[in-house]
Amino acid sequence: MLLAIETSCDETSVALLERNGTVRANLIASQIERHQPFGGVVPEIASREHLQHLFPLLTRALGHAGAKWSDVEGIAVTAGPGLIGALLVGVAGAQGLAYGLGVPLIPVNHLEGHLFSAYLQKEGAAIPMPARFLSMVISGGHSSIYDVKAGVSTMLNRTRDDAIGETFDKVAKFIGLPYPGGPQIEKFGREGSADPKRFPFPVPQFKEESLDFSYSGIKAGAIRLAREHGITATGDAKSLADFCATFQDALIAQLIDRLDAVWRRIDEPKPTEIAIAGGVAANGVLRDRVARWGGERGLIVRLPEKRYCTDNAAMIGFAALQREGSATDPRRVIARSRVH
Amino acid sequence: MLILAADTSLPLLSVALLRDETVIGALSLEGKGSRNEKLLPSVDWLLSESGTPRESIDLFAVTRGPGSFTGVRIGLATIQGLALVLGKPVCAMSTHEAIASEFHQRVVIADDAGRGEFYLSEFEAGRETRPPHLATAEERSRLHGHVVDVSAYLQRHNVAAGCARRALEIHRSGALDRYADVTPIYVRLAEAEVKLQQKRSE
Repeated sequence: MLLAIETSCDETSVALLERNGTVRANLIASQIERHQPFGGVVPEIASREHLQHLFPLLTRALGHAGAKWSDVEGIAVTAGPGLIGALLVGVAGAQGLAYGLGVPLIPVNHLEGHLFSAYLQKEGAAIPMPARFLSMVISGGHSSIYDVKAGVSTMLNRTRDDAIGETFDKVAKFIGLPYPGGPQIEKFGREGSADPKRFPFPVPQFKEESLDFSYSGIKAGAIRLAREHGITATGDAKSLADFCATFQDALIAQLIDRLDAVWRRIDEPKPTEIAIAGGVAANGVLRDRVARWGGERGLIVRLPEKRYCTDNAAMIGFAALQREGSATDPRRVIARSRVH
Repeated sequence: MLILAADTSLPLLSVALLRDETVIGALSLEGKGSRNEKLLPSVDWLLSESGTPRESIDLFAVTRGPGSFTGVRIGLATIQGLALVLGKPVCAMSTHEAIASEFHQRVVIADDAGRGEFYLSEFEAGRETRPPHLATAEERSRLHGHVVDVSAYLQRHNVAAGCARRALEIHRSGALDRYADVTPIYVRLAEAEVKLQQKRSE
């Protein structure tokens, strides 16, 4: 069995996986409430929380999977990108465990964890990954589409400014909704209907050759519109709901537009599968739109289980299973806040 | 009894391997950069050069700070990981307690905490009488009696070896249970927390 540890941001997570990708345990200790008073993740507090949660989670995960330490054949750990102090808690813990057990340690790129996460199942073995697929990672820190060939990913586009999840969070914060804002916007938006006449969000104009995302314009527009119309968490409920629905629509519309641009650019033969991943991939409206977009093109669409959207160790373990060649000596693992 | 001890809270990282009171090996290494890149290689060097299988370690000893926040976490996470899979106990103590174990009289341990402040703690024959706390430079200058300056001490002694010796005493007196708390001794709150409190009290 493979043990996986993830501590790159504000979730401490420990998972146990079988070689075929069956997730035997995937426990997450979220620190969301701890960071709420600050309106965002505080690195030092995150690091403190990780150490507090890591060892209790390890013991619980083993119990959950009905496993013993002697069943653990390898350890996967997120080595970056992320908050350096937070990463170091997971990496140091993993080093001690792997060295003590005498098993290999597999450093994992957090982003790769997301890339493959749509192939993990709630129960049983992972869905076999095709030789090639597109993977769109959308979260608080990323908005990028990757072309994944034989497990090697090539980034096809990126955001010029804010990530889509960051845009959700910042606008939610501005109107007084609690962190993280994405799920809040979706929740209130469900009660309303998109009204682009009342809330004319700016639509960024991209040059023909550009594949990039850009969310800062929509963010600025949202803040201006919210101010003009007096949209607040405690204000008129109907206006709040319609605002949220329209704002969410604008974000998703750009996502689909960019996906289209990327798709047109890819040479034949094109991939036959598309996966989405990351915290924003839990958004129900977005899932429906991507499923429809893929359906119209005859593609297999892989939507991740919601539990594997936000940061979790199961996806880190799964990425390590695709990368067993990168197993290393536990003494020599380096954590990096930025990974190129 | 074989004891492996580590301190990663101070500017010089140290590890030591002792058989009861006798040092088998000890080393200190500048802690610059990420201490996790030095701790396990150091532990491994001690064990392999002394021909000690890791399974034969009976007790792990580690410091909990005060000191570098990140350093303390690296030491605690690594040593806990090792001890957990090897099924051996951890004796975790304040960094100052590891230092004070060498002194038989009343002693104040003082360490520069940056920003013109100091971490102080007090001991009577190695037993803690006042836990680590923050003090101003003025309070530090008014201290009388035997004061041990941590940065000067560090240049002449291996802190991990002191930590191992103190752990042995604790083990012999049957008090290991009281040293099972492996949470860091930060003394200071996270900066963001301080600012939030100031904002609330305004």
